[in-house]
Amino acid sequence: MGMHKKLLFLLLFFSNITFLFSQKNEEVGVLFQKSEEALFSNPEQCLKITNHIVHNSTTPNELARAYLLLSKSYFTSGKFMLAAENILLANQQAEQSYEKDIYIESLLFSSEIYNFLGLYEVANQQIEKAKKAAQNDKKLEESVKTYLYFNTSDNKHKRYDSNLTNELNHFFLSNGTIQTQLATEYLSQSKFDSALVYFQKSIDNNKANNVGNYWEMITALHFSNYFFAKKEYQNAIDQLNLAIEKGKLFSNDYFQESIYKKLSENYLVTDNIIKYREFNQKAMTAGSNISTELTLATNFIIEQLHKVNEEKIVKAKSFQNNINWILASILSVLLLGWLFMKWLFATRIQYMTDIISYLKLIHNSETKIESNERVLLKSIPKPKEIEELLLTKLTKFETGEKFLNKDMSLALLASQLETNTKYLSEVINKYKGKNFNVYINELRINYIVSKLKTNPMYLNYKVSYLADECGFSSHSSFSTVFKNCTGINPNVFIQFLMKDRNENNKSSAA
Amino acid sequence: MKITISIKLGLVLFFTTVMVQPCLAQTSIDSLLNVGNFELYENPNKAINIGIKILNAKECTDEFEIEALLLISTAYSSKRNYEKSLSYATKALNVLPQIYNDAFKVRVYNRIGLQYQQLKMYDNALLYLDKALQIATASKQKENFDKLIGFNYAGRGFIYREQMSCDIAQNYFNKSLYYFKRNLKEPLMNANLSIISYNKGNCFIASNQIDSAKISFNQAIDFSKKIEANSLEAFAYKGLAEVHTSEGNYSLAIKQLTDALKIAEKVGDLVLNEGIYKGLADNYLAVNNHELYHMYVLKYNEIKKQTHDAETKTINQLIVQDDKEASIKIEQQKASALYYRIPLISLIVLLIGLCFFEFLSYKKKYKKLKTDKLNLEK
Repeated sequence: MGMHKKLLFLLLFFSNITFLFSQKNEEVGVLFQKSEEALFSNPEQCLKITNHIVHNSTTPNELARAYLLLSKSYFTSGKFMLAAENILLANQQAEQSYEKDIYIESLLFSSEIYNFLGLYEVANQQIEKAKKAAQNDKKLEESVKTYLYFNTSDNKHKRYDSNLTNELNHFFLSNGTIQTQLATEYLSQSKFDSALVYFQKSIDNNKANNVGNYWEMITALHFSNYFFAKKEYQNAIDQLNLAIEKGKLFSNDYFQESIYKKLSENYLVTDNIIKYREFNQKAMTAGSNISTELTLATNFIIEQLHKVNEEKIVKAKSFQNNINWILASILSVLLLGWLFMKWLFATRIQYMTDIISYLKLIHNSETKIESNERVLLKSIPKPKEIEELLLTKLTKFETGEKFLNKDMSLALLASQLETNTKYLSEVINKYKGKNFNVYINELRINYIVSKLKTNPMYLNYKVSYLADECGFSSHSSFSTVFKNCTGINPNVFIQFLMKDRNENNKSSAA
Repeated sequence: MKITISIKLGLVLFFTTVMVQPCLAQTSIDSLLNVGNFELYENPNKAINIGIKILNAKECTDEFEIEALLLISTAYSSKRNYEKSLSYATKALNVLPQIYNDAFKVRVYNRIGLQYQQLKMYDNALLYLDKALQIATASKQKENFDKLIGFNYAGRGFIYREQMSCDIAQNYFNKSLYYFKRNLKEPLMNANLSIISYNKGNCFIASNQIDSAKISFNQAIDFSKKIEANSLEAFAYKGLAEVHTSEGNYSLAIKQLTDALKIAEKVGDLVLNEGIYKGLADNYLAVNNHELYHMYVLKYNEIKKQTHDAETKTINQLIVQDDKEASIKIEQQKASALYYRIPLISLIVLLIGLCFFEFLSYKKKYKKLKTDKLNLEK
């Protein structure tokens, strides 16, 4: 079981190297490996190599990995502001990378940094993100679980039992190796023997695995506490001096402050006032530097988080606006569609009505005289003599072509029928059921309609000619009157007629 | 380190109140400003709202506008929204050329310089402190600039002290003391003098000048006694005890620290207590009294955890608050977008209905016409 977990743990952190090798990107793979080896022993070299990788990388995966390494390297050197900057870059790149494990690793390391800076809320958010990203991938899920299991302080003993003694926990950059942490815990419970055992194990492990000066510095720093508690001050001072030596390359103010503080305490208790003062001052300087560094790093992260929120707000705003714009576009399309439908239906209906009017016209003109006669018989039950005479004259007028005269007016007709205008108008109104103008126009239209139907020549004439032919002074008044009388435009009527004629020709030809 | 922060805050407070006082023209704005300044650290959102209210007020003069902008700027700074904070400070700076009163200008530059100093952006801090000093020294107006210049030099002293350039810091602290002393008619100046002397003492310890440190701390004690500033006195005693520890005079150090502790207990200043416990632990360690050493180490650790927890708590609350504000804003945007969306959607539904209706009535009409046509064709 323990072995299994250990394997997964290793897989999480080193899978990327294998990935790079498999990509035949061997050069970069070797560089990464060199850089990772230097991380805890030679930070300067690690930075150099990693910066070189950053400058020459293009894929988000490589960049994420490089930024993560830079962040770790700056962290081990106590440059927390730069560590924060680079972990954010790593997160950004990792988000675009297809490799989930680098994304998860960068999230977990950022949570480590946030925790170190006391930004617990954000640290937890990162862990939640990592958990989410690991979902549906059993291997990664297990790795994240394992990480969290080992990262909870209550689990230190279980952690040891799970046989991970040889494993270095990369995530405890500020607390030291697992054995060191365990020893420190025994020390805090005044279990000196157990503490000594684990410190010794830690030291042996450090040596055997060549883990790097960084971890040796942390072990020595904590080991000095053991001697201090046992009042073996010289041993404590030796350990602290060892820590100084091991930490030289890192010049990490965070650890230096506590090394110097402990040294000053050890010198104080051994009554070495001069050394006490010296290291007290050094501790103060380192403390001041680290306080500035921590403030800058914290402020930087808070600012970045705020920026992220601002971006979220802007994004949400444009998202909402986009939805509204889409809706507005749909609305305008619908509006246009509606208008188009109205137009389309109106033309179709118009066409139908035209056909109907046309058909009616053809039928009506054949039956028109009949209906006229019916009206005539009906409306004049006992016609007076003069009226009867006048009506006969009118009938004659209707069958003739005098109404085609352009100058035809009520007065002219009255004089032709040898009556007065008033009387004529009355009779027309009474017996024809319409006024003089309508009466004349209808006669003219009926005339032209019958001409169009009977004489195919007429179909070739222009409308203006037809208007002239049936006594209208203008094209437009003819059209209007024609439409009013028949319900159809003269042009359309002609078209229909021509169509009918063609069809008839075709059918007769067939 | 934390000690200097709290002491600095004291200095800042002594001046912010002074800054508001000269503007007596409009009492309503004046009282608003006072409320705003009072709420700065407890309820920065309220302070911001007050600032905006003043900016929108009709009777807002250029001076008040600047005061309001600085109020908002400081409030954002206490919300740790430094970008906003600095942008409001810049707005204030843009209004500044319209001001005739040089003393006012100097105050504004001093204050912005100090804001940068708290952000640990020392270059910018020095830039504005320089501007303030330039105006103060070149001004031909009759105003007394001593206090402002003293404040300016103190700010520089803090900056160099934080960068551990104690020699340069001492130089500025001395200048600051000189100018504050010229204003001793104001009793409040004694507090500032005590603070500066205390910081001088710390600087002397850092550069191993034990005797000078002793003198400075004693001066700090004298100044604090004049106005019965308990916490300042306790700070000074704690500093003096450090000197005695450095001299190997542990029992005297313990006595002074115990005295300081008595005063500090009245004040309840965590930072002060932390320093005293640390001193007591060190000195009991030096006299090989491990029992008391452990006791004070525990107390020291406990109080350190308290201050650390308080600090991280506020920061985390700020982050949560910022997240909340962002989601509220997003919700508001949703709501305001909905304001347009509801009519849009109803219009769309209406149009769909109209199209449907149009189609139906067309069908009906068309069908009727078709039957008419068929009838006619028969």
